[in-house]
Amino acid sequence: MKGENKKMKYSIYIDNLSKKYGKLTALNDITLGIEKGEFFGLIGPNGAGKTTLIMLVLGIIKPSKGVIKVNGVNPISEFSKISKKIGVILDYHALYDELSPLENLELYSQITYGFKNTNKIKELLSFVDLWERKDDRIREFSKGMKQRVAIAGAIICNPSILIMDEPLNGLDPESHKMITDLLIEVNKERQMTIFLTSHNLHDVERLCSKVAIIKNGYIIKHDYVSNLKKAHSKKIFLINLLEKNSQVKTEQKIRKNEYLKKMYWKDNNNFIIELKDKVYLNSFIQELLNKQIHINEIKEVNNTLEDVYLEIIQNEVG
Amino acid sequence: MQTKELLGLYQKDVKEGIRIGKIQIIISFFYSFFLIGIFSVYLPLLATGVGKNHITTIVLSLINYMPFIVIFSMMFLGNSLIQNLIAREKTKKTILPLLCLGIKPRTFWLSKLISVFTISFVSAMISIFIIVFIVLFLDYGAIVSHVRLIILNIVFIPLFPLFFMGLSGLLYMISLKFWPVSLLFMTIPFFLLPYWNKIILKNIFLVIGLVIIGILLIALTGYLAGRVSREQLSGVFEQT
Repeated sequence: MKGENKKMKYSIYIDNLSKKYGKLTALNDITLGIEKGEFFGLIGPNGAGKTTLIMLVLGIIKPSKGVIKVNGVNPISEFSKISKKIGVILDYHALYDELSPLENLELYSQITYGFKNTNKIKELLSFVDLWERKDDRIREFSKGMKQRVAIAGAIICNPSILIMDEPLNGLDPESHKMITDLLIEVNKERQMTIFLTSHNLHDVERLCSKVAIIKNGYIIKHDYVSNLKKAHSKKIFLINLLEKNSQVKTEQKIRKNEYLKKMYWKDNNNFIIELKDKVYLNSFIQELLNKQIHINEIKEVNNTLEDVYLEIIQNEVG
Repeated sequence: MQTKELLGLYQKDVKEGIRIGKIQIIISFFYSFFLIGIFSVYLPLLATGVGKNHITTIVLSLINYMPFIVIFSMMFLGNSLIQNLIAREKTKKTILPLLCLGIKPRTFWLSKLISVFTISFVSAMISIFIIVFIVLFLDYGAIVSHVRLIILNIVFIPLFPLFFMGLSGLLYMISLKFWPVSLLFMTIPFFLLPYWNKIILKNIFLVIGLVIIGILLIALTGYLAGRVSREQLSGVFEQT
């Protein structure tokens, strides 16, 4: 009963999931829980198993072992119970190029509602700012515009879960901002659970509350972004000097410090240091003072998800 | 039966089929009339010589080759369009949102089949009406005496290519690697050609027999289409 309650809070629940293709193991004993309304990111190198995991969640392919529950049901054997409750957006903007945005959405509307829900279509094309271009062919659109149509198509059925495979790839900055804003709005205001894979870790850090890092078919980390950043703090500090010193002389003095891992200048008065451990900060400062380097201010620099990811991936053997 | 879903998909497939198949439609018309010209008008005239009865020869040849034109036109257009439509769904991954919306493999197959059938049937019927118009102009009486053949063209003959379109669609749903099979199907009319006047047309029961077998095979193909897995249909692991 307790286990059932635990499953109920998840939109997507995966337990000991494995997928093999002949001798190749694409996914190995994956266990994950994505809570309702969560913006979840799955990150990992190419070939790590991200797309395979998405296909399993969508019920397109069958697992070799383990359990998947989407909204509490098995997406393979009971797909009819969750169809129209999952929206999907892919990096190749799965749209009919020879049709217009209006015709694409009419198809999804007809399948979802049994008729062409013109009010809904107008609302969504206006939401993605493409109502004015509703009759143009998709093939004439830029990648960003296509992706906006794909978002409108994916949410026409008011899904509770939105699954996106690399949705922000290759977008120009304007489209990129527009789409990330749309996704935030979809997650917050429409309260959809979002499962996203991306290589752009800045996007994942901005959008997702929780992430899982996948490598060679294994989930090697799964936690809140904030927790990961804390746990993998690189002990980086910004030091502001009280007076202007010679950079060369100051650097010579600092570099001899046994607690220092890395340092570089940000400008004439500020430099960044990375210590071997956070606990050495006081000793490091004391040593600077002993060497007549006077400090005005010390700030802890937040490391990014990219720093954390690279550290985890590089330290992971295999 | 997913009737509303089927209707939505059918409308989409007809629009898409016409837009992506413009060149095939033009080729189909071109070859239909080119073949009529060569095999049903030029060659008989060459054999019989141009004499008093050459109009009668042309009229009879045109009427006799109508079923062949229907089969040729529908086999070529239907097979190439169903192949194109399914390949696009799989390579562009437009199939994935459809599968997420609960479209079943049989609905997908049926929508492709009836939409390409509609396009190829209309295209073939345009050819037939052009022939009928020419014959009416040359010899009004010939049409009256060949009403049965014209009805056969419109009602029964299209069922024969329908089966091959359905089979082509089924094979494409399983894997895009089956593309040579569609090409093979498109050549079937050329194998029929030498026997057309001599055997098939004189044997109406043979034609009806073939059509009945065709209908049974369409039903079998439809059953098998419903057995295609979502994994095969999605084409996610196909080399594209």
